[in-house]
Amino acid sequence: MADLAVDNLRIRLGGNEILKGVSLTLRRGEVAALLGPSGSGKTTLLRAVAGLEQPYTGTITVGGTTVFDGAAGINQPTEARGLGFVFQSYALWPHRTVAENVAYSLKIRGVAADVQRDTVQKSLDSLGLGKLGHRFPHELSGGQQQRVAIARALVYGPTVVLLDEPLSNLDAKLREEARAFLKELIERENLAALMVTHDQSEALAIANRILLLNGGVVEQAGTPQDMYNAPETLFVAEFMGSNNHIEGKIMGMSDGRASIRIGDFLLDGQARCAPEKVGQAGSAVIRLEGVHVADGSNGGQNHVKLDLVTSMFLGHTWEHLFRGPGMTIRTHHDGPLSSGAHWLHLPADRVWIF
Amino acid sequence: MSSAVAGTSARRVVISITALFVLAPVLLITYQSFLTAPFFDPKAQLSLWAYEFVFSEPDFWRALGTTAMLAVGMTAISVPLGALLAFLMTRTDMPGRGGFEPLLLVPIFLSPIVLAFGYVVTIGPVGFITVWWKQYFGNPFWDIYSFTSLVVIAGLTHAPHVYLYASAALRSLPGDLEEAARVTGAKPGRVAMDVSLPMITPALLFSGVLILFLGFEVFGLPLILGDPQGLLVLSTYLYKLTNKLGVPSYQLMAVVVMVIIAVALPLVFVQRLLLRTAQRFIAVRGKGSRTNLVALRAWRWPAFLLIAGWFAGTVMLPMTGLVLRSFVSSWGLGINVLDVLTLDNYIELFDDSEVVSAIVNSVGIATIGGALSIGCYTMIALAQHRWPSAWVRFADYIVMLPRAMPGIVAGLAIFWVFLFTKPLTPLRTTLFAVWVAYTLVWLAYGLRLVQSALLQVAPELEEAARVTGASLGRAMRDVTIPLIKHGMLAAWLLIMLIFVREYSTAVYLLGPGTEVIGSLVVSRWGSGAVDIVTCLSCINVALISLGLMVTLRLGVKLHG
Amino acid sequence: MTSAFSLSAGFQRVAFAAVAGLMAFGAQAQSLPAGYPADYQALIDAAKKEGVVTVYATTDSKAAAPLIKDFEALYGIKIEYNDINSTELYNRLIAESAAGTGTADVSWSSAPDLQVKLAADGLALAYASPEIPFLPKWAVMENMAYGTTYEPMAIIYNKSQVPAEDVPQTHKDLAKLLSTKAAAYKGKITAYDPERSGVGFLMMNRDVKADPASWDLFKAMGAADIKVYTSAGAMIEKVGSGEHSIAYNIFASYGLLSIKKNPNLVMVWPKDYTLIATRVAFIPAKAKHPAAGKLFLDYLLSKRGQAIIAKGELFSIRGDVEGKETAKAVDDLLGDKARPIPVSRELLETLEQSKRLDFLNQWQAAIKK
Repeated sequence: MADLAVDNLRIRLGGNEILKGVSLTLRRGEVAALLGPSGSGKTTLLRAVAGLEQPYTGTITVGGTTVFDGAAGINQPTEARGLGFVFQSYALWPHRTVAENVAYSLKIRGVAADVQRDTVQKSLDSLGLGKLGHRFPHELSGGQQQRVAIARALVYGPTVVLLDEPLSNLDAKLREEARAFLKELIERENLAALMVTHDQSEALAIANRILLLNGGVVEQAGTPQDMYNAPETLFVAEFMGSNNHIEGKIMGMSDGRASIRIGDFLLDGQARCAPEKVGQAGSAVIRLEGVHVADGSNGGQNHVKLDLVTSMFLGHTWEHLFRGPGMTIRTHHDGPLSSGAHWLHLPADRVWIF
Repeated sequence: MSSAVAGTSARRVVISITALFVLAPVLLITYQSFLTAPFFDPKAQLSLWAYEFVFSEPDFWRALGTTAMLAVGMTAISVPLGALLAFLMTRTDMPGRGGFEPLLLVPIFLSPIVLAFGYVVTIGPVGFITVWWKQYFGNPFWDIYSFTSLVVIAGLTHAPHVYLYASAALRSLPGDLEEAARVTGAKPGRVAMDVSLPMITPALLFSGVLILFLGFEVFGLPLILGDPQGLLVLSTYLYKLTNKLGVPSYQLMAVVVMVIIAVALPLVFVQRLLLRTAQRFIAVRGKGSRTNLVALRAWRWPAFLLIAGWFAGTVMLPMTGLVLRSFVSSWGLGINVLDVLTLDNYIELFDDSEVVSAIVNSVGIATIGGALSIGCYTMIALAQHRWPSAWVRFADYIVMLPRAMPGIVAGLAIFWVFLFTKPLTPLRTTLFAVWVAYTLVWLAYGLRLVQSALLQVAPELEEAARVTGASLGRAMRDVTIPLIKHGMLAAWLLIMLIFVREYSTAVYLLGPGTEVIGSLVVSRWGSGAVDIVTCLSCINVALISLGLMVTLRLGVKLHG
Repeated sequence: MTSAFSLSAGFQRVAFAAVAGLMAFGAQAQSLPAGYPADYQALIDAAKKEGVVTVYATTDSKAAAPLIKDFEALYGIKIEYNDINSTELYNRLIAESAAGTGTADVSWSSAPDLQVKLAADGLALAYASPEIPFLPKWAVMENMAYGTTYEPMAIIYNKSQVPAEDVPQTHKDLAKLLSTKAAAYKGKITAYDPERSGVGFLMMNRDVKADPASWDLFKAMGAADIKVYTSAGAMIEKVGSGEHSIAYNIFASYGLLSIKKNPNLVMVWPKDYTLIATRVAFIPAKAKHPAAGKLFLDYLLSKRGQAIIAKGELFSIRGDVEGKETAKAVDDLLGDKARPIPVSRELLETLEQSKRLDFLNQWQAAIKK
């Protein structure tokens, strides 16, 4: 049984249809990431689950209980839904200490004072905040504040926890550590986590399932591997990973393969477009890591010679920018390259043609 | 379907009760404007006669025109001045700015009648300064009874209202915007003009509309300073109507009030529009930012002089006149001040048993009554908080209405409501009725003060409480209200100052034992005891200044 | 009042005084003034039972304090004294009477026209005070409203501003002064604004009644750019300071107060005629404590009360009161030039809308320069 189920949710805000029918299910121990550009409706969806936005149709079920049903007229207020919510800005109450912030939900539920104290301390300890209970939020670092927000959301043991861009307010180094920490926490506590993020690498790293939203609908949903390796549309392909994008004219298609002409160059690749598109303009997408520098070869199918424009040292690898007529290609390579033209190989099975 | 916004029924109840209290006197006056006699006169009939009479009076149109010009003129002075004062006080390192803050508020609690009289004593045609000036420089270049002087004094004395809004807005601006301007080479003056002030434009426009509105019902200043030249504004024209036909004709007065309301409602519309844009600028999200002050360097002392000059002209000048008058038995041409110095006026004052009781009552209404009023305003503000509903729009319009009635009419209308509503009648002669009258009339002002504090609270803080399981009421109690505590205290302080100087609203509700300083001033003035009035006012000012200093020392900050 | 004994009037008086004295001795320190009916004690008892008298008055509470103290000492009944202006008094009275909640027990106002209107409109209780024989006929309206004072309307001037030869002793003097020396007295003459002040209107109206040539005076005031006010206090303050030099139609009681404070001020009672104003009192029909009201009204009109009024420089109206601020002293000074404003329906004329507006239009035309 799903711990969180959303079915065909539609939300209108200020006359605009923000969510145009979204469904998802979530089970304990799973992390689902709502991914998408701004305006795609992902935060709205998250807030709707919490009861902070009002859909006009659809259903939301938490732990088997229907908390929202547009047709049946059920709409439980936020405070009755028993979810955990971590805000993007953490929303720690500035006039209360860390311990008081965390204890609040227990206080409301009438938990005895000594039990409150113990539970809160355990919760803080488990997040590495054991000695900070008496401090005020503004006295803590960003990372610490984030963990307090998490402690507050989890202390009363909800099954479903909602996170709104949990890592976006942290600086880059902290983000990597926090990413691992969050994943471990969710699995350890066996939570059903729904997370909103605009960062696809974050979604790939943490989530078991990704829902990529575009304009209020789910464009594609699947495991990170599926989303990364088998994008169904151009949008999905370009949103995930770092990509090269080449425009051209689709020449032929057969058997799941297609070819696209860019100037004099004919590129073969995986067909991801409809058969009707033969003869029309199309796009070829290939990930940066799919392109190889192939100076040893001397041309061949899916080989192209381009001029090196600039190189960037990334620490673990080099990124090189090549340009030729009708195409700009970036790729990673172990070391620097000499200026001038180089042969590049774009393997057909790494090329998607839309 | 349970309510889309939490606590909707509670919100509706609060707004309904407010509407009841607000609309009762207003609708009564509206009804009265269509009658031929007092509404309780069995001979009264429905008719448009009152409207015809007023609209055919050239005096009315004159008064309307003068009022409009006065309102515009005083807005044109007070807004830039208030903004400049706010900038200097909050964003620069001007010397003495710590001590100046409470002084800037003084005009708010000075009774305008008394203030105007103070000006007459110092710079009137035979004022102390005028006489001295004549000796050395010949005829003075000013005429205190001219329209220009009226506009200037009105503008100067209303600058503090603009200051309050502008300084609050400036305090919540991130400092790096101005730093960016300084880095590109802009001097403090340019920084103010090009960055700070444009950023707080909504707050300035908002307070400008407020001043326009106050300009329409200004009464004390034109009464004293406009009298000799026959300058009429709507409120003094109203005063004229009470006697023109011999017996007070309520229907004519009601028509004038309807005209003012007709002007007020569009102003409210404009103000709401501006408040929406202001929200983007005023709201602060969870984290504050440390701001660096603009160093004035060469401008330090000129700025100090500007503020000192404003204070001197707006407060010291009339106050000196008042204090001097309270210590002399007579003044003017042919009288040497030193000859007539005396303490008799004060002795006479303290002989007056009503004075002590008036002071006690005023302090009581101001402190306790003021706190209760702030409590009511907070409830109404919370009811409107984060609720996109037609009810909120409705509330925004009606809360202005009591203030649209000049004091003399408001007092009369509230008196009638208490008199003719059977359940309320026994309360009429108590201080409770006075408190209701004050709370109603200053509703719009006090509500705005609390609302601007509420705007500072980030929505996530309340949502976080709701998500952890708190009901709306709980969330407001545990999160919202503690966070606006400072704002509420500051609002209480300001309301206290206003209640202390209030005079005309409760005139019909007062009796022996319940009189307040303001009404005592008016009644003594009416009976010609000008010296008593000046002594009373000086004591009033001293008390308030003391109270102000004490509360500020105790840490009540004027900004949240 | 009939007497079973055909004794001489003088002996009657003595007898009554003796009886009254005995009764006072027996009762709680009450002495019935001479001429009161035997059953007056019943009224006193009823008033005591009511326990309080609510008074709405325009007389300054400080000025009224001696009266209040004396009345309370005399009868032991508390006075709730509301010091309000004449417009407020009128507004309160008609509203409270209409609301049926009961209103003041005595209405005592220096606006005789408004008081007469209230009485004429039926808001006053008909009550024949035993003091009627001691009051002039013009001061009693149909046993409803009573004049309680006898106040000349004076001209106040600042002697440092007005040279001796300019001092106006009559209305005609003033008219001549202002028209011939208009430039010297430009902006220096003040008076109540008849448009905004009910008292001002009434007085000017009575001026015209006393002497139709008053219009010339008003024209002269216009020529001298008269400054009009609604408050005597403001006028006297400005005459005292020298901003203006002459104030016209000021209540003599104010005048007395101000010349005491400012040695430059001088008061003149015009010798061609002087208007006499009176503060009118009545008992509202809907009074909450009518018996107590009657008691206080009688007290106001009694010799004892009037003596205190005279001492308070409010100018008593009774002919048998001694002192400087009394009707007797005023009449001695003015002879037959006193023009009291009658407490009668005659005053209603000034409240008639078309007549009032006509007068005001005439006034506006007269003072146009």
